[in-house]
Amino acid sequence: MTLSRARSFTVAHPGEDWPDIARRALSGLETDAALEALKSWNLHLFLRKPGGRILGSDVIFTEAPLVHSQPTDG
Amino acid sequence: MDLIIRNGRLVDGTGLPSFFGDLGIRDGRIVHVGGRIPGSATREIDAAGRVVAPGFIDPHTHFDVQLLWDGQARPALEHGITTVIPGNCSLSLAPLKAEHRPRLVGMFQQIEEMPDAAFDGAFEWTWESFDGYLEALRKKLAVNVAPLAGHSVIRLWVMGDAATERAADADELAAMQQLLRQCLEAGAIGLSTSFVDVDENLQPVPSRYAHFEELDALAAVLGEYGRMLQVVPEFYATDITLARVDQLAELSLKHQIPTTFSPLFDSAAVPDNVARVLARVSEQMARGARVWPQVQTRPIDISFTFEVASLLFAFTPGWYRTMRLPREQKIAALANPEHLDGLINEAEPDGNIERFDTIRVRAVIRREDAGLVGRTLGDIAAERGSTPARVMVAISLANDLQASFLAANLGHNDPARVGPLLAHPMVHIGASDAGAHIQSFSTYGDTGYLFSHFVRDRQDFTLEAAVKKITADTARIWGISDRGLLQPGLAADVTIFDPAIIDRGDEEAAFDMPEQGMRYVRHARGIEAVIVNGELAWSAEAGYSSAHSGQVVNA
Repeated sequence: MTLSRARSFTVAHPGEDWPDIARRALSGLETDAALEALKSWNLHLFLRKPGGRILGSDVIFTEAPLVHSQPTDG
Repeated sequence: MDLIIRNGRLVDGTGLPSFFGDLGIRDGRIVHVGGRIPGSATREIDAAGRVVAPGFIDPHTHFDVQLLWDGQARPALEHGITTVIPGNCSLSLAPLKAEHRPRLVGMFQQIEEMPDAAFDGAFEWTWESFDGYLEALRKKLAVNVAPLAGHSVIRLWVMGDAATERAADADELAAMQQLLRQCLEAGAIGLSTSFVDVDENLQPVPSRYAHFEELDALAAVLGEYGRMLQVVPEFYATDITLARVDQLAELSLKHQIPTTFSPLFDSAAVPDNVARVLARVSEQMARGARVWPQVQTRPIDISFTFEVASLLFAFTPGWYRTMRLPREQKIAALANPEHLDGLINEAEPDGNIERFDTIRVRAVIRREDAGLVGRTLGDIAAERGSTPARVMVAISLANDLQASFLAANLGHNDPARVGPLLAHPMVHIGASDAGAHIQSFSTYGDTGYLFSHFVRDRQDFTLEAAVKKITADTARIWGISDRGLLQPGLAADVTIFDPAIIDRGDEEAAFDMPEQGMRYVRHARGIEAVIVNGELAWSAEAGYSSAHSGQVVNA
């Protein structure tokens, strides 16, 4: 069965920092632009202290939230 | 025959329609189901008008510590729970080197709100290995225990302080795999990990430093045994939870293991959360992955005093930090107008008083404040020309921090949404957290609430379907092969109850922890008898028995 499209994400590999992830996950963008994009999509990591620290288990989104249909009542 | 339960309504755990008849037990096993059993037995119970069901299984508990001094897991047993699964959320009491005990205690106290008294002198640490822990447990067990091994302690054992600093190297990964293998050989039912928890210094627990490669390597070991992976996802953020569902599905398919995540809450604040998560779970299940969301039956209610830092304040850091101060410093801070103004601005930004408006005063120690009990902070604030947060602090200070408050129905409290959710075929009823958060709410009685609220009152389930959810389904999900059904040859775990009465009792404060420590409990209503491996462990007539027939069970 084919999965429906979901918001894409990645995880950090050991030793990777944000520029590494930006280059790997958003290779079509300049690094600075990719970093800004990652920051805007991963506020859950940048709002914690220390901001932007990557833990090995973190989910890192590589695109903006998808627009999804709202479930209807009944 | 050792025990015959006569004339009961047999709800056998299959979900099929119930029927009337006798149940026979010999040597801890069920030997006869249905019909009339001729002759007599050493003990007989007349169950006329009562339901006879398999013992209930609670898949998300933190009884790890309590079981060392209370092998009956009170009061879970009296609610009909005959098997508990501790070791959730990456935390277990083994494997654990002696030098790491303080760190484990700190994590337990922070995450599960276990008081000092639970660890200080309440039991003797005699083990480091998982096998040694089980040996200590077996001495007193009156319930069955299917324990998980915690990822955080496995990481701590292998990496020491580096467990909260960096990724594991290849040698450390291999060592963790071997350690997990030893736990599974000893009897662990699986591995637990957490993506959200913090330690007593509010720093991430060791499991959160693990890269996916590490979890994959450990899941490979689980695959050798077909055992469970339990995780705590970022349940407050739908998109992240969806990503976790996909990760778990990947591990489940690759290693052919069952996985479960807990909790999944319904929330008015994020009304589409459950629907989106269940849609993804359904897609992954259709691919053959086993990703079971655990859903609790009870609404979210939190009681608190200013004596201890409550999880209710986890998202208002100023309050949380203040509540974690040593007692005298805390009183001084709350009494300091400047500090209090800062807290009020955080709690009631721009005059928005909704956050604390509906919280009720639960108990006070000052006689002159007795009239406040049961009233909302909003009501008291209006009377005093103040705000809810200010009157809460004022009442706390006036009562030497011992006033308690109840924040009720914080979420998961719309029965029209929660009922169908619980009945969903891909929902695993659990997430009770029994034995944890003991000073914030009672984690006992969720099964009684299931029957009273969602079977009897709302009829979201048939009786048979509800029993199946918390017995046979749970056993199958976790791979517990010899429990969960009334079937000849299976272990004789049996709960007898009155379907017209079964319920959870009122939440009350009990002082039955070591050194008279306080916790919130609920006693059972409508449970008649609870039988564990053929022995009567609890009855409404005689209370807890001296039987210690509980076993360590695994897949």
